Amino acid sequence: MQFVESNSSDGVQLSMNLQRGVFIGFLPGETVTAFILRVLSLCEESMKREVQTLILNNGCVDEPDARTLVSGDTLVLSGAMPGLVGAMLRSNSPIKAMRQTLSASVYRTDPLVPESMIRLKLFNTVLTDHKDDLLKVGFYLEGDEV
Amino acid sequence: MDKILRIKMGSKPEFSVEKLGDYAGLGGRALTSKVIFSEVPPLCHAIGPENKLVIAPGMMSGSSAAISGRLSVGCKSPLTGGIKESNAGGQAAQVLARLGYAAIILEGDSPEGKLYTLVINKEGVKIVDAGKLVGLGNYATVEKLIAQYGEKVAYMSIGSAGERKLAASSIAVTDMELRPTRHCGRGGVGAVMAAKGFKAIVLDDAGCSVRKPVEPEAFKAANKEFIAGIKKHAVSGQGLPAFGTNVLANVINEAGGFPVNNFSKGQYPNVHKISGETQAELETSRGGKATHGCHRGCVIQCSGTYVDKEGNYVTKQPEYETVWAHGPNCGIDDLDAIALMDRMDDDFGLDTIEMGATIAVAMEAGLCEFGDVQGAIKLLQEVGDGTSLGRILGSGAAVAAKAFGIERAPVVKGQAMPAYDPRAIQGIGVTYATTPQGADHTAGYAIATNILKVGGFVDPLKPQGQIELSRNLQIATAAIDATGMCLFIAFPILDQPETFQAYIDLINGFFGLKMTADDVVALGKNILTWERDFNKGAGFTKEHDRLPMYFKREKLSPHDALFTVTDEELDEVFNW
Ligand code: SF4
Repeated sequence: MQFVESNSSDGVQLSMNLQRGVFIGFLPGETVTAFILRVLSLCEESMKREVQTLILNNGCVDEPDARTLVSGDTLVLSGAMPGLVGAMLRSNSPIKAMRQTLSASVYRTDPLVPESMIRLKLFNTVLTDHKDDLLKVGFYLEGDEV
Repeated sequence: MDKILRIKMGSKPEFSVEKLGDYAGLGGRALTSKVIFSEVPPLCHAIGPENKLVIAPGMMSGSSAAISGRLSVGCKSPLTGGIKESNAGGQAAQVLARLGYAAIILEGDSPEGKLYTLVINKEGVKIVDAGKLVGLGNYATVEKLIAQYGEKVAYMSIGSAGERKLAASSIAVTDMELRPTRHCGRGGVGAVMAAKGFKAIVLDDAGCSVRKPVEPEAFKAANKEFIAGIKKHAVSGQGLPAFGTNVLANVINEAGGFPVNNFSKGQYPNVHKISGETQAELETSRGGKATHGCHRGCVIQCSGTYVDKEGNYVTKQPEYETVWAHGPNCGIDDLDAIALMDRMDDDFGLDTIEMGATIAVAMEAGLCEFGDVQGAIKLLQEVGDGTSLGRILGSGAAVAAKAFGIERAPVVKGQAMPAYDPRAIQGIGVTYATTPQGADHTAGYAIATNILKVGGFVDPLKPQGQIELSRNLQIATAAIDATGMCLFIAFPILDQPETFQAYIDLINGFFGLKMTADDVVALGKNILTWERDFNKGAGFTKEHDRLPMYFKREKLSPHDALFTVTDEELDEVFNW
């Protein structure tokens, strides 16, 4: 595992690493909302505007305040996505009925993720707008990612 | 747009220019579907003389309304055997509308199988021998046409797949750079153009002016508000311009709805290598463009230019469906290979979704391994070369699956499904199953809360929600397809009531109408009714509104999902 806190890799590689997922620590009892506000340096209003798609362990999250992070979670943060399916996947989408199967998380955590950490993935505008925030906080790459 | 150009092919090609008559007030998909419903015997053979090919710009095309340059092509589909409307961007809709034509209707069949070029300008119409264009790919065809007719023209053409009347063949439309990159891809429309005897269409609007609105001030104000709404929205103003539609790959994969290896899995571990985010980084780092429009007047610009390592043009930025079809659905994670196959599809004149799905079926049948890049390229080349194997593959996923003895053909009404697995995303499965077009993700695309409410307010938490939503989305989409507006306006319209109002005001200001959301719904319902009635006449029953059985039997990881919407529920979609 390699710790990264400044942009030493090229743009394409860094972008791919952040999409594939990096390991990052969370605070005891931290909710999804609290984690996002801390790590991305956002206020709640900006979070609602910028992070419109939230996926935790392959399930859409409609109530990020109500979910506390646990070791091994995989959390995806993304801007609003296009397409009918993109609209469906948005948090509290008015057409969330069309994704009933996806509203529940898969009940398994990622065994590769170290204790007290989650795998965090950034997509879309959250990736481009917040990769520097993540570099400031620092994160770990999986063994084979450089 | 007050006339129709009707071309009658036969022993002696003839044409006439007609008044709109019963077709007045219609455009785009509304017009193509009404003509096919009214004039084509549903039981005809799709490449026989009784079928017709209708080419119609949207109602707003050729005006200065933002993002209004989509072109609809309609016919009886050689792929599905039902009605087809296939639309594309590019410059043709704007030019055809400025020439004053609401539609071109091609009918009859080509004398002795010969191919012609149709030339339309302000002075009139000419039908000339296609001569040396015959046998050429779309890129070479357009190059030769430019040498003869110049650069201030829009071109439509078919490639070798269309000439061979393959059911996966497309019609190419040139973009702003005069490249044949925008395709009416779905349903085999290229084969019908060939059957009518046309290799190419030249549209020259020199001396024509922009279509004028009836109420210029109201139109101008609404257009301004509409553009502002598009630009301020996170999807149409930021996500789509920055990354294109392929920004969906990561998130659909994460949700477990990304079909992999011929719809056998719902997730692909290397998705980050082919995602829209990576594609945009790569294009920009090589000197390509990650933000570009497919036609003048597009204010979203979801497209781009894909270049190779040396910075040389390869193709337009492959869209999400193309990247998925030629990529993970075939186990391939190489963006350069995917771009090459996109270029080959455009040149041969093939639907990228159908071809990716077909190659995946061929891979499952053992013609090459999943993940075999050179094997996939070779199979596609067979289609371009017109070998016997190539003709089977160019006939689409359903035919290929039959030929190779494979059950897992991801098709509805003979047309391959796009890049969303219906087991994970059941709501889109409802639309795949029931749309008159065959499995089509765009058929239920337009999302407008206002329209949803007009269609009967839906409680999204009720199990019936997805049936009603699919119905209302299909209605709204059909109506937007009639305007010539790109479906990506759906997002600002969904989220911003003032942008929805600006959209309605824009149409009203242009035509001097007092249309309401109810009228939009009525138009959408009419279109779907014509299409379904045509299909009924062609022998389609409710049993055709079903997904293949294996989607109810084979679980999809990671959610272990099956398609669980019942047949009875599916039959409720058009029960309005
Ligand atoms: S948003 Fe994309 S598909 Fe739509 S008109 Fe613009 S470039 Fe074409």
